[in-house]
Amino acid sequence: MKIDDLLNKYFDGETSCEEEEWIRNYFLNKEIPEYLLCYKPMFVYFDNEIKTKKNKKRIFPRRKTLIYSLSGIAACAIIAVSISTFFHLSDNTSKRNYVVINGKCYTDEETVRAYAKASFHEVATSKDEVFNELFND
Amino acid sequence: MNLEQFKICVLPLREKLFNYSRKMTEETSDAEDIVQEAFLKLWRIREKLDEYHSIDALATEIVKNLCIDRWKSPSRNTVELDEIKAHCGWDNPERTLVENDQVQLIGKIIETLPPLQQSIIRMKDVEGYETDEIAGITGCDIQAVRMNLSRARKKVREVFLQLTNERKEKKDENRRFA
Amino acid sequence: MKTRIRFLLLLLILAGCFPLLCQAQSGLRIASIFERYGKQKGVAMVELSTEMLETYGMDKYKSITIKDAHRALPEIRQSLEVDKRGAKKIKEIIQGGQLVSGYYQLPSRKEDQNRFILFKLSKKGSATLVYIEGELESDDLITMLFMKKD
Repeated sequence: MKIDDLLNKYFDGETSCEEEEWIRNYFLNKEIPEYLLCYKPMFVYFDNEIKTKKNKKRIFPRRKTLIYSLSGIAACAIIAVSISTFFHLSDNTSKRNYVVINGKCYTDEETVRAYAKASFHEVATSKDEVFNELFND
Repeated sequence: MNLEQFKICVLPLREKLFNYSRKMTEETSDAEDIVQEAFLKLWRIREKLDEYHSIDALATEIVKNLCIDRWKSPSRNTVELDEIKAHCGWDNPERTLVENDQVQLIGKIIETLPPLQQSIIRMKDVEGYETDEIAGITGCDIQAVRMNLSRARKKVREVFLQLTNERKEKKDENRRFA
Repeated sequence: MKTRIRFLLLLLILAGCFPLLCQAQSGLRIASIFERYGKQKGVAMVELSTEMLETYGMDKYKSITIKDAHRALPEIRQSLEVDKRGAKKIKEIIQGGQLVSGYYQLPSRKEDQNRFILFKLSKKGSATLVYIEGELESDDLITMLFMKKD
């Protein structure tokens, strides 16, 4: 039977990704004979992990489309208007990527990234620095 | 950075890293596993590699940390099995493990695998890398990857069956004496 | 088209809603440092979310750098003393009996999510506090910190 051969191949580490997909679909969609039921959780687990991974990627797709860019521009405009309205009203901000410098808020990606890198650099350290801090007074 | 660029960048360091790792571990096989694991870690951060002064130094640092982790962690078998049992409501043998518990159990068992086997099983079964791609990234031959993959999968199967059968036997025993 | 409308709508809601306390730091004392000093002069405060952090394995990055930190220091140190309780990993450098550099991995609140606090007091007297949340592991973060280009 195909599934038996494939399972043996699977546990020998010799299946291709396509064959593994076939096995997963088998365990998820078909009527499984009792002697194979013990394998189901394993393939359900991998299927769940794959779906979780796909969902994460879908939320923030890497490819910038024109629509995203236009939305980004529109969004920045909305944020800019909101900043001036809300900045004086409350202490906290709910914007997602921003830097506040001397009390002024900036949301352009370049500035935010530059300041983020700088702050990370501040807490990073080199081996020499650690050595000096530990052994020099 | 694609696989070819990664290979050009990172694989030449292999021999040096292996020798370094060999000095810090007891077994040659451990040293080899550590080097493979280090390459997989470097692969995961491949987009950021140009932010580092020296990939050589970075790779050495990663290998060193992996060696240290290996000294620190004792044999993983018994302790983790007890933890797995506690996590899945093992204390109540009468409670039948629903499918979801069993699926979670698989995840927990995978977490107890040696780091290299964990990485390889995830790359193959979750991330969809082919064996030859994993071999390319780790700089070892395809057979070695297949062997690690096979060991990992068989181990998961073995532990899973052991735990679920153990449980079934205990349940049956309790019933007999009830 | 639908995605665009949803995206704009989401931002309108975010921008239009009454701002909420930064949830990532809920329950942490260092949150008070961000609140109190974040908008002052001589201070730079950054917050990044998942979109910009994906490649680093992070979901949240928040930092504050206070240029002349002598007034804020006692409060920062005290907050770290509280927040580090129960930490999974602590690395600190103490000079003259006072904390000058700290690395803390906090207990995880969610599966597959690690939380870290980093602190450094520079020789020039500026203090930087960083809070990170994400899937990245401790040794990945340590490697990033340790090997940064100058």
